[in-house]
Order: sequence, then structure tokens, then C-alpha cells
Amino acid sequence: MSLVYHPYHLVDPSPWPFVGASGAFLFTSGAVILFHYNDYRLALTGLFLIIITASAWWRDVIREGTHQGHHTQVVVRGLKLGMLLFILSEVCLFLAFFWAFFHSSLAPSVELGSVWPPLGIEALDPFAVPLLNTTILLSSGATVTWAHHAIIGGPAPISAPKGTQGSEGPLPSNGATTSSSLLSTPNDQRAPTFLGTDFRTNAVIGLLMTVLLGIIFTGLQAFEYKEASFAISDSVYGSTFFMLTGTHGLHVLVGTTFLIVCFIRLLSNQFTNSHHLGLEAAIWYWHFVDVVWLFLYVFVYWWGS
Amino acid sequence: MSEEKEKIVLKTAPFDNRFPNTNQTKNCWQNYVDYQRCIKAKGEDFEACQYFKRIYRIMCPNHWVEQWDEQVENGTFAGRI
Repeated sequence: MSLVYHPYHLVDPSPWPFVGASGAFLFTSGAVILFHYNDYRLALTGLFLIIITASAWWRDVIREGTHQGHHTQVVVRGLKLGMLLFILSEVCLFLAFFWAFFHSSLAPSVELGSVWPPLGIEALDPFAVPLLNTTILLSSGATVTWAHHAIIGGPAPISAPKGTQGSEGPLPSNGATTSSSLLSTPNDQRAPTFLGTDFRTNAVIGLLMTVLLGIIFTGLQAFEYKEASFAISDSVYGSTFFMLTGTHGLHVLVGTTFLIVCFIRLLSNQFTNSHHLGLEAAIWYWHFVDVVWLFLYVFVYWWGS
Repeated sequence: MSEEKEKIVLKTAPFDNRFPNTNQTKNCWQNYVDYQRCIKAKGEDFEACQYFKRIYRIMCPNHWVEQWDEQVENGTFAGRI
């Protein structure tokens, strides 16, 4: 790798922006065809391209950051800002659906019987499965913090050879130094312990529990959908309920996938105590999904019933 | 002059504190529901029920009333009667 005299990451040409955009276009058109003609082929093609793009593009990013050392402090700052702006855009998305919900529920129209939930809609009991799901998501927020602190408190990266500053340094001049600065190398005699076992095991258990709690949440939501006495076609109640909880459910699926990727990366020692941007982004995203659920629970499940 | 005899009383629906906004949809609807509840409890000939009917005949567009009457008949009206 040639020496560069600036901290920025100049990316190589990549097919993924084009393939991803094609996938998004085909999935949108395919969804229209699916809804109107019940033909799922184009939608599946688009979805396939999106999944391929997501997998391969982020594989490339992991290679660039972890293995080639392109993620300098400046680059990390840019990636963090990007993630925060992305989450902000997600907030706007949910705000729009919440707006629709409050528009319809605060002054229910006479066609609904002027009551909310509308006459004939039997809302789900907020103190049954939804309350359980609230505790599950809140617990997952705790377990992910446990994992995060186990990584932060873990062993420092082995100091980089003279003249380089490791993976955090402004000069990504030598990619080889980054691969040695990994969490808990077996021979590290300074490896501290926490709760009777080493930090790495704590991180693995904490993250695994977070993923499992996410999967349990999704399972319980699927059960609730199956048991619900109303569908998305049942008045504006069904429309707003399933748009809000459905969009949230999709985000839980994405967040769980993100955490599973982090779990695999943790197992392969890709996180150090000072450089674990992928995990941090996943944690931010997970907390965002968690907070959206709290709003859903309080306003849609509880107040809205 | 026969002023006293020919005096016509014109009375529209009075202001209702429950519906202070410009949009009077709920006023119309509430009186329609109240009338339906009234005649269900007291029978169609009960004099006091006629007040609600007079208000909703004033407040509601006619085609709403026709539509709701049809729904009440079919048991599909979206109100608790």
C-alpha cells in the first residue's frame, strides 16, 4: 500500500451503489406489481439485489476499516455523523406515521363512531404481550450496554510499532499494524477479569443475550399479529396500527441482523477497546428501535386502547 | 293590524358549548345519536326526543341523514345507540 499524506479514505470504484439502486427500483416496482397482480417475482428479484448489496458492500467496508486500516479518526468521525443523520431520517419516517396515527385518533371521525379504537375494533390488551415485549426490549438495552462496557473495559490494543499510531492513527500507512491490535489476544498477560471471567466472555454473553432477546421480541410480535382480531384493512385503526408496528418490526429485524454481524465480528476479534465503530453504530440503532417501541407502547398500545 | 297572529317564529340550533369550533360535524352527529338513543329508550312518540331530531335536521346535510338512517336500519351504524 502506498503512503498517503492525509487522513481521508478515498474509496475505490465499486459496483454496489448501482446494484443497490437497481435493487431498490426493482423492489419498489415489484411491490406495486405484487400488490396489484399478486406476482412476487420482480419484488423478490429486487429484494435479492438489495440483500446482495447490503452483504457485499458492508463486507467491503469491514475489509477497508478493519483489515486495511482506512478508518482513521477523521473517517470514523464522518461515519458516526453519517449514522446519526441516518437515524435522524428514521426518526422523521416514524414521525410521519405517528402523525397519521394522532391525526386519526385524537378526534376520531364520525365514520368510526367518534371513538378510538373505532366501534367494532377490539384492541390488543396492552398489559399482556406488549408489556412483556417492553420489558424484553428494555432488558436488551441493558445487555447490549453490558457487552459494550465489557469491550471498552477490555485490554487495550497492543501498542503499534514505532512510527505508526495503530488503527486510530491519522496515517493509515501500514495495514498490518491494525490486525495485531485486537481484543484479548490469548497471550495478553494484562487481560483483566470481570464478574469472575474475562472481558471477552462477558462481551460475547452480553451480545448473544441481546440478539436472543431481539429474536424473542420478533417471535412474540409475530404471535400478536397472528392472534389479532383486526387486519390492516380494518379501518384507519388497522392502517395506522400495522404501518407503525410493522415498520418498527422491520427495524427490529434489521437491528437484530446488525447485532448478529457484530457478534460474529466480536468472535473473530475485530473490536478493540477504543475502536469498535460497527458495534457502536449497531448499539445506537438498537437504542433507537427501543425508544420507538416505548412510544409505540405508550401511545398506540396503551393510550390507543 | 294582525301582526300578533301572523308572527312566524324562526329558530335555528342554539350555540352548543360542547362544539365550540367552526366544524360542526360532531354537533350534527351527536344530536343524531342522541335522537336514536332517545327513541330507543322512550319510543318514537316521546315528545322530548323531537328536540334532538330538530337540531340534527338543521345541522346535518340531508344525504348524511339518509345514509345514517339506512345504516341504523341495517344495524351497521357506527355509533353506540
